[in-house]
This record gives sequence, structure tokens and C-alpha cells, in this order.
Amino acid sequence: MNDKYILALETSCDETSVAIVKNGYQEIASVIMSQVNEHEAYGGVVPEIASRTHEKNITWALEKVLTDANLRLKDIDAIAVTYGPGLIGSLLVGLMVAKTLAWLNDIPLVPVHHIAGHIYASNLETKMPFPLMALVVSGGHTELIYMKEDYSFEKIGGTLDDAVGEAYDKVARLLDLGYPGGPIIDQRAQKGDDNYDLPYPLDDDSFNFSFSGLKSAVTNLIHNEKQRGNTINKDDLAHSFQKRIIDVLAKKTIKAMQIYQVNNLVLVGGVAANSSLREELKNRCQNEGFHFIVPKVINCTDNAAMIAAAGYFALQLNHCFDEKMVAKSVCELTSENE
Amino acid sequence: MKILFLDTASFFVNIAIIDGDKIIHHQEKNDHKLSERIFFMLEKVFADANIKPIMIDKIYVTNGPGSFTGIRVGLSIAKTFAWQQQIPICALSTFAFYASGYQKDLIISLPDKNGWGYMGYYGSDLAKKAEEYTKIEDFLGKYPQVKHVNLQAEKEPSIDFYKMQKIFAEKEDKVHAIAPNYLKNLGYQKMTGDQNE
Amino acid sequence: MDYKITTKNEYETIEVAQNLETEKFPNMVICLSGELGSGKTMFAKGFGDAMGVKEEITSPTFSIVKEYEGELALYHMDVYRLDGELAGIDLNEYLAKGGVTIIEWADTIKESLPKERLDIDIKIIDENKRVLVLKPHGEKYVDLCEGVL
Repeated sequence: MNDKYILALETSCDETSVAIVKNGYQEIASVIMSQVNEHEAYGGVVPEIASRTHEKNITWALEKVLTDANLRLKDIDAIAVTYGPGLIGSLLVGLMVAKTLAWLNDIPLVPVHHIAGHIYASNLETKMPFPLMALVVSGGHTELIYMKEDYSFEKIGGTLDDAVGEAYDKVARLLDLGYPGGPIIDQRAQKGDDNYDLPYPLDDDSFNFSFSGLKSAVTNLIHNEKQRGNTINKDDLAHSFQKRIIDVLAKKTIKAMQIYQVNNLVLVGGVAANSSLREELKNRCQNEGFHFIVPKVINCTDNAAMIAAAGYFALQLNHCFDEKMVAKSVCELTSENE
Repeated sequence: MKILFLDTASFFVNIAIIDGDKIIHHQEKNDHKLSERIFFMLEKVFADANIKPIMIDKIYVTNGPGSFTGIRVGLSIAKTFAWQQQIPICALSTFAFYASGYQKDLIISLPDKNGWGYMGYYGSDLAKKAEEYTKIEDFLGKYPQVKHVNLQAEKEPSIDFYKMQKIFAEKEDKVHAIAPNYLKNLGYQKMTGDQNE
Repeated sequence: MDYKITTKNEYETIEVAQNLETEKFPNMVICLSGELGSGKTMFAKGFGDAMGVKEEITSPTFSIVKEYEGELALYHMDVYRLDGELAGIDLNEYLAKGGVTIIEWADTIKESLPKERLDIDIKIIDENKRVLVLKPHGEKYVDLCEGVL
């Protein structure tokens, strides 16, 4: 069988990434140009700055990845690109470059859903076992996806309002802790205790999540404590806040696995880097006899290698670009779309 | 020499191929369906010109000012094309591009909102005399004798590709470093550095 | 003139959104203001659902803009993180595309807002109760309020 090299572009948010993956599992080269510095002052990513920076970086990244891989474009079998969801202006840069490459080289262009990419990041380390449950948690996404087999997706739950990462960023901002909120709150939480009475968000039978209520509760608490002249113990508040989030994420994930009769859990997305979340899920999986898979941090955050990994399977299923396909800021991950 | 011109930065999309003394030019109004249609348009122009992308020797692309999205669509495609084919690329100001169709010094305005717009005062040799994002009437007031064209109001602006080819024949930009000319100051303290080209 | 509506729970807030939706028109702009947790996203969800948007409408705080397809396109924005500097978004481009634009925290970018629009301020009275104050700017919006409320 011939080796298949997929070159992928990922520009859905604030990291410009290009990568080459061989046969769906082996990462040959990967370039990630991060924009965190550009956006730091704004407590998050600013779309116009992101789009401009992608346009500035993309051809550099392309050239570097081919140089690092010691390959030329004629060695590439297909181009994979994130078409959504994400920041529309940012997605567009990657999409236009990808379309140009596919057109000039007369090779297939494979559209990949960003969340599918996150899940397939696992394949870069070990082949994913099926069926599995994937918990995808990041700044912009919080979803529970059931996968019966390769490239078959069923979203069984997700956030109704804020994504986990968003909730962390907002609360970190309320507490003046800086950006990005996740790592900072995780760090402070280690030093604190559960001494604040916050509600457990959407503690129901569904597999959906809702974090805006928790965020409001934190706002009210800060407001009330200020009125009473009390200082907030930030470590404790970080701890209580994080505990609620992790608790509901873990509880619903494990329950979903039991209902769907699935023994494999994949945790991906930027928030998968959260040490407390990893620890909690690892322990609960151990208790249930479940297999817990979480890629290295570099593969959990946005990157093109994961898009190439997913693209490999999409290509096998002939998911090539419809001429009219456009970048989408919002799109559901279902097997019909993919 | 076979030359490709790509302009998606402002109110019109222009794709043209010069092949010796033959020229194929497609122009249409630029709307928000640009990214959907741009490759259809490109393929059609190449088909009409009866040449393949691999035969292009040089690319000219407008790098603004104009619509932020439009600028990036054009630059992303042109840069990738030039880089892959290892051919020279030359960035052209939107103003120079449209001024080419007139044989005189000219002010071109790209109205934005509230009486403000992107203003460019260019010579008949397509050299920049002044440009800024400002109140339209203020800019016009500075150069009262100069002919003014409001690009948004034009129906079918004529473009002189041969003129641009001649004037910019030696001009070549480094593909990775082509800077978009957004012209509008976004008011950020930290920017990517190419806001005021 | 201002319109004041008291809602006893989130369903009533959603109802106001749904009523306004029945009179939607291309390039309509609704500017929402109110503190964290007042129900701005809830309002947008109510409006979007009524418009036939199939996807879950979630907070656009992270991405600033989210685009949906309904009977009309819906552009759901949250400028909370922009600290008053709208410059990051080409608002005019969105306002000319024929859809409905809903902007959360619009009061932070007052100078950049279009002259014709509907402002809705949501005040928290208690855990469930809200007071919505609707301020139409421009004839189209005055007619809209008079017709619907």
C-alpha cells in the first residue's frame, strides 16, 4: 500500500498551524505559530487581530513544514483544512490557502470539522479504540461525542451557553487573575479549599452543560462579599468554582459512558490540559474499569496535525470539498456533515 | 509573459490574465459571497484564456485598502500561488489599480461610514501622493483641483492592466513579507505591525 | 419613547424575544445591555430559536461573533472582551448582509452603533425577575415596538 501524506491547515482560532501526517497516525512535521501575545491585552482572542496574523504567518508556516518534513508539494496526496467551527475571518485564511494548494496541485481538498480534529489528536499517539466517548473541552467548545467507529460522530451533549474555557476566562477576569483563565485558576485552586457555597451547574439527567449560572453566582458572591467588607480568598474561590465544573463534567461523562456501554474515554481540547480535570477523570475511569486516553498537552490545544489525522479518515470516506463549501463559525459535528 | 492580476480588496472583483497582446478580464461586484465564488471565477478566466495556472510568470495582487476580508482573500490566494509556483509577486495599492484606468492625477475614495472613507491621491504614473483613512470631505478639501472618483458609485471601472504591467515591471515583493495595507488604524496599542503601511 | 416590560422568569423574557422576532426584517439590529447573568444570551437564544436556527445558540464571548442560518441569517455578537474598542469587528459589513444582528454588551461600544437600532437594557431585580427597557431609535424600530408591544 502506498504511503499517504496529508498536509493540513488549521486557522480556526489564534494558532496558525500547518502539519504533515503520514497514513493518519504518524506526524512527520508540525508548525504552530501562536498568537497569545497579540491577544493577551483583550482577555481573549480578537478576531480581526487573529485573521491578520494568520494571513501574515501562513506561507511561512507552509514553507517551514515542508522543509522540516523534507518533502515537496508533489509528495502530498491531499490537503485537509478546518472549515469550522471557529472565528470566521481566521478560518477563511486557511480555507483560501488550502483551496489554492488543492487547485494548483490537482489533489483532493478534505474539509475537517474542528472538533473531529480534536478527537483525532489521540491517534497521533496511540490508535483510538472503538466504541468510545469523547469529551471535548476548550475555550470555545464543550461537547460529549459518541463514536461507534472511525469517523462516526454522534453529539450527545454540549454546553447550552458558555464553553468551559469561556467560563474559566470570565471568572478569572472577575477575579483579576489574568488570561488565559484556565491554567491560572487551576493553579490557584490547588492552594485553596472548597469554602465557598456555589451551585452545581445543570445537575440533571441530561448530558448537557450550562456554566453561565455558575458564572453569575460567582459575580453575586463577589458583589455580596464586597458589600459586607470581606476580602475574597481567591484560592478558595478558584477551588470551589473549579470543583463544581469538574464535578459535573466528570459525572455526566461517566454516566454517558455507562448508558452508551462504552469503555473508552478520550479527553481532548485545550482544557484537557487542566491537571485537576485529568486527575478526576483518570480516577473515575479507574473506579469503573474504563480506559482513559488523554493526549499530550501539545496535541490537545489547536494544531494542524490533528486535522491531518482526521482528514486521513475523511479522505477514505471520500469527504471532499463541495465547490460551494464555505467557512462556518458554527456547525454541528454529525456523521451527515462529515 | 503570462501575467495574472487579482483584485478582491474593495467594491469589485477583478481577475485578469495578460498573455502577450491578448487579455482576458473578468470583473464583477464584490459581495459577501466572494469566498464561495472566487475559485469559480479563477477557473473560468483561466479556461477563457486557454492557459494553465502553471504557465503564469508573475502575479499582481491588490493589498488594500478596502474590505479587511476582501484584502485577505486576495492575498491568501496570490501569496500561496506565487510561493508554490516560485514566481514573482507584486502588491498593488487598490488606488493605483483603479487609477490606472484614468490618464490623470486622481483622488479615489472608498467610502466607509459616517462620511469617512479610504482616500488615495495618486498620479497618472500611479505613484502615491497621499493616502489616509479620514473624513472624505476633509481630504477632498485639501486638493480641490484634483479629479475625484467615488469607487463605490462606479458601474464598470475600466482598468489598464498593460499600464500597470509597464510601470511595475521591475517591482517584486518578498512573498512571505507582503504586507496588507489596511490603512484604517484599529486603535490598538499592540498590533501586528503592518497597520500603517 | 421607552417601553418597560417586567418579566417574572426567563420564559417571559424569551417570549418578548419571540414577539419581536415576528416583526423581524433584513439588517435589523438589536443592542442588548445588562450585567453578567441578566439574560442577554437567553434573549438571543429565544430570538434565534423563533427564527428557525437549528444549532444551539451559545455564548459568543469567546469568538465575539457567531453566525447562524435561520429564516434570516443571525449574527450574534458579544463585545464584552473588546473593552470598548469595536475596531476588531467590521460591524458595517454585518449590518449590510441582510440578516439580524444581536449585539451583547452593546452599551460598551455606543459610538460605533448604527443610528437606527433597538436598544434593550435588562435589569436584574431578583433571581428570576427582570425589567426590560426597550428604546427604539429610528422610525422602523418605533413602528416595530408599537406593533409588537
